[in-house]
Amino acid sequence: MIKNQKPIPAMQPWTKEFWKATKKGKLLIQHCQACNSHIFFPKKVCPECWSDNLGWQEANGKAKVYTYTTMLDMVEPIFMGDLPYVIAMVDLEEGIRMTTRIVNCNPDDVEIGMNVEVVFAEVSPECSLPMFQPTDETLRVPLPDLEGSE
Amino acid sequence: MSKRNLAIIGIGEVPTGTYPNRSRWDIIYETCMAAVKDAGIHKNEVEGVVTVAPQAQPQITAEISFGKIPEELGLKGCREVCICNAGGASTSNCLRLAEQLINGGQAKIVLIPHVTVHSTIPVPDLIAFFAKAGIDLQWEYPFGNTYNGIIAMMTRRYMYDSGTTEEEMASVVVSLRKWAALDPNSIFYQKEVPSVEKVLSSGMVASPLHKRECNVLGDGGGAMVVTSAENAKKMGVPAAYKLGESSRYFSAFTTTRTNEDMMEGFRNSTLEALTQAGLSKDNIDIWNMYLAYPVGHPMFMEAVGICEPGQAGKFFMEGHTWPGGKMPWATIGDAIGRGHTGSGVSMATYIETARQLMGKAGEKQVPDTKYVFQNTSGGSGMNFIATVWGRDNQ
Repeated sequence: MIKNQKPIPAMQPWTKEFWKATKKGKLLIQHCQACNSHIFFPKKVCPECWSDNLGWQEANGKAKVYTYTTMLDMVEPIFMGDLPYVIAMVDLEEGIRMTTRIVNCNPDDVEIGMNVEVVFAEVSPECSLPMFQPTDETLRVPLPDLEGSE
Repeated sequence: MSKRNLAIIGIGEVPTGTYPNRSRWDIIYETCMAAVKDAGIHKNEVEGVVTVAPQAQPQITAEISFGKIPEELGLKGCREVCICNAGGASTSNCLRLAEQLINGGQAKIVLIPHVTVHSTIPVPDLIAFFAKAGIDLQWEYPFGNTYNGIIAMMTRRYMYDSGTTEEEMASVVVSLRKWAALDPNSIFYQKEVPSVEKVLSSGMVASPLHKRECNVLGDGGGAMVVTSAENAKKMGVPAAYKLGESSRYFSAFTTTRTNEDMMEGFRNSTLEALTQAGLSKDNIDIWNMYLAYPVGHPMFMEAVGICEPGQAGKFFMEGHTWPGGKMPWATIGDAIGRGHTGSGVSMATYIETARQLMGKAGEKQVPDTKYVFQNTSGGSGMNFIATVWGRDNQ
């Protein structure tokens, strides 16, 4: 166990593909070949039609902030060193909503409807989380990456 | 005659607070004995014990699951024992199980206990539990989210959609704390009620949620004795009769549901419960809401048409929901006012519903209460169970 290791997503056999892709800088969306639905959170079978004929499509990585919060206190000790940080739900252009972090941005500049794009933050040598930064480059503030924080 | 056939005839409760020397079994003894005494029955008349599952307390949960309560209390007539876990919606489901045992002829009288002691759980264990309760371990938790964080995001979106101000959101806390200050079982009993300004001057925890808009964990417990409506009537004791019930499930996680989904479920289940009771929302004397954080209160008010969209915050600000106001609302002050006892706030809310209908609510008694609406919700707000209770069986 690496000291100060951040939690790794609790993967399922059918979600490993997603996490393999984030490691390579790609954001995948699970897709049902039978009924054409996008699926999130990814499942073993399609929650719409129970087909197991599922595949993956690459998202273009563009999204809008649906809602957000700036975490300032009362988080787990492992995340204390990251404070303040912004947790958000973002709507991908492909029509799914994810919980994520907004990074490379002053928390005061985040707002509902803001355009954001995916970036990948390494939490361990095997795992990267999809996070989002402002599409507008003038709003970007370089912040220490996750690995550098304690 | 109601379609339902259940009445609460006895209640027992201990004060909520930080009492590390009051053990879980102390609480079980005290609350169960008080509820049996309040019902005016002998202990051996209890034929079933259906317990609300404590959260984050594996040892007591195992002991209760494997039947220790009837043995410990010497309930010689007990035939049925089980535990029920649906998070904050557990008590509603215990009542349903009791109703089923009673109507199936398995038990005439059922005891429903709850106990929680947070103060002796190591703090890191508590933080870890509440960072993962109702939060997905793959798609939410690794980003550093917490329970306050998910509710903060819901609150932000509600405020954005409805135009509700932070002062209006803080006024929900003021209302809840006014009731709590009158409640001998609240962690905030006889404590100063904060003003809107004071709520907003408490530190920000997860924007837009301030410290006083989040819950304080407490120890507590309660118990109810229930029987059939006919039996309650025959016994001639003060009782709260279940008149209507309906529910909706939304989703396990906040990422996978919208405020609109929730409001539609609030509206439909409430309407169905009222219709089953043969009532309309105008008949309700007390809205005894358990929504755990401020945001659910204005959302519910607007969902069921008590207020026009975007007007609920003003309604709270104007004091209509306060003690003495025209719409008594969450008369234990919800989890914000009572102190958060895990799955226990749902128990405390039912006990309050019964207490008001039985006319035993003391200083906070709402005069001539005939009908009380009460909800529960579990997990991160996974569901909504709407119930209607009456002073008389009709």
